[in-house]
Amino acid sequence: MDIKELYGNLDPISSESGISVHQLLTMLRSLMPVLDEMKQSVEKTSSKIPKASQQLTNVTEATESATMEILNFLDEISQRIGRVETRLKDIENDLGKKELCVQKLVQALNNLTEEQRKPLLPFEKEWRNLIDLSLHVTTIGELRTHLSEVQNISMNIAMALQVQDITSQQIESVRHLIESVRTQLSNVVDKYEGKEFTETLTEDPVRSFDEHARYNKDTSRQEEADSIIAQFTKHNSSNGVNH
Amino acid sequence: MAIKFLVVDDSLTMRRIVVNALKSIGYDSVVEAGDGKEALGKLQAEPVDFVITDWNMPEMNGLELVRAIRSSGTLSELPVLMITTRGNKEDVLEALQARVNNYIVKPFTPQALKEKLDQIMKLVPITKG
Repeated sequence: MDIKELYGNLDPISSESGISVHQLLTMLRSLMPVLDEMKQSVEKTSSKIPKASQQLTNVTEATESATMEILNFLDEISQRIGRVETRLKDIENDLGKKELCVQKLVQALNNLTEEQRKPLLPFEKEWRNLIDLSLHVTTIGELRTHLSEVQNISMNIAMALQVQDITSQQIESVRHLIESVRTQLSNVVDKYEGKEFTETLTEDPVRSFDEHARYNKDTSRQEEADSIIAQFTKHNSSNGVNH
Repeated sequence: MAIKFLVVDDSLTMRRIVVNALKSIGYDSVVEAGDGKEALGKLQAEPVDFVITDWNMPEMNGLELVRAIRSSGTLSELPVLMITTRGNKEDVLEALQARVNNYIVKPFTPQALKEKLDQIMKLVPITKG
């Protein structure tokens, strides 16, 4: 803007406000340091944003790495539970076979006469122990049930880790917002300095996000989706469209 | 012969979780891809029976992947399940119009996954690749 143009702009303000052009120029000059200070402040704020943005990226990377570790541990727990379950099943099968033998033996003993049993009486305790094998089979069954429950809990923990993906999308959304603020601030500074806009918000091709992503175990969103699918399918079927 | 799944998600965490969930309901044969473009490459390189894909991904998103599959001669009938955080009515409709076979809103459970897979398999016969 040249001086002539500046005077042209100030004249109407001067005649409307009753303040002389000279006074207006003095006021404008006094504003310059304030504007410079604002510019510096904007530049300083703007320069901090890349660091903040990088810190958010670091948070996402750290949580992803920690989540992988947790998933590895859960996999290991799951594999060990699987091995214990297999072993318990083998023992259960083995005990089942032995229990059948014991039952046959007990039946044979019951068929003995009092006289025939007499030499076996000192071993009565051992017989009783053998008969108790059935109790062990029941206990193993209970242990397997407990293990299966632990397996389910382990799976529930793994599924809860979906929170990492969802929060990383929320973080990415915030990162995108502060990057757009930085771009706007840079453009304000450029305009103040009379430059052409140099900054445009560039899309980071590596990351993609849903700004509305949220971790919510409420099933209403799924139910709503199911209802839309049902209506869509019904509508298409009645119109003879394959889906 | 086992049904082979292709799990497509740019989140490593989600890929692991989906693969674990599939294993927990009896499906062990899985290949993975980090975005739609990589997924298309895998589909061209090896036979796959079923695709499970996220929506928001770089390079090529899930919706673009579904459209590419549907417009492909050989893969056009491949069953596709979308698992995404996007739960708005407009999103679900857009996915259905692109011809996804079913839709799950994250976070999901293995039971929900099994239910949706069963529904799809009942309607779409799996042609072994």
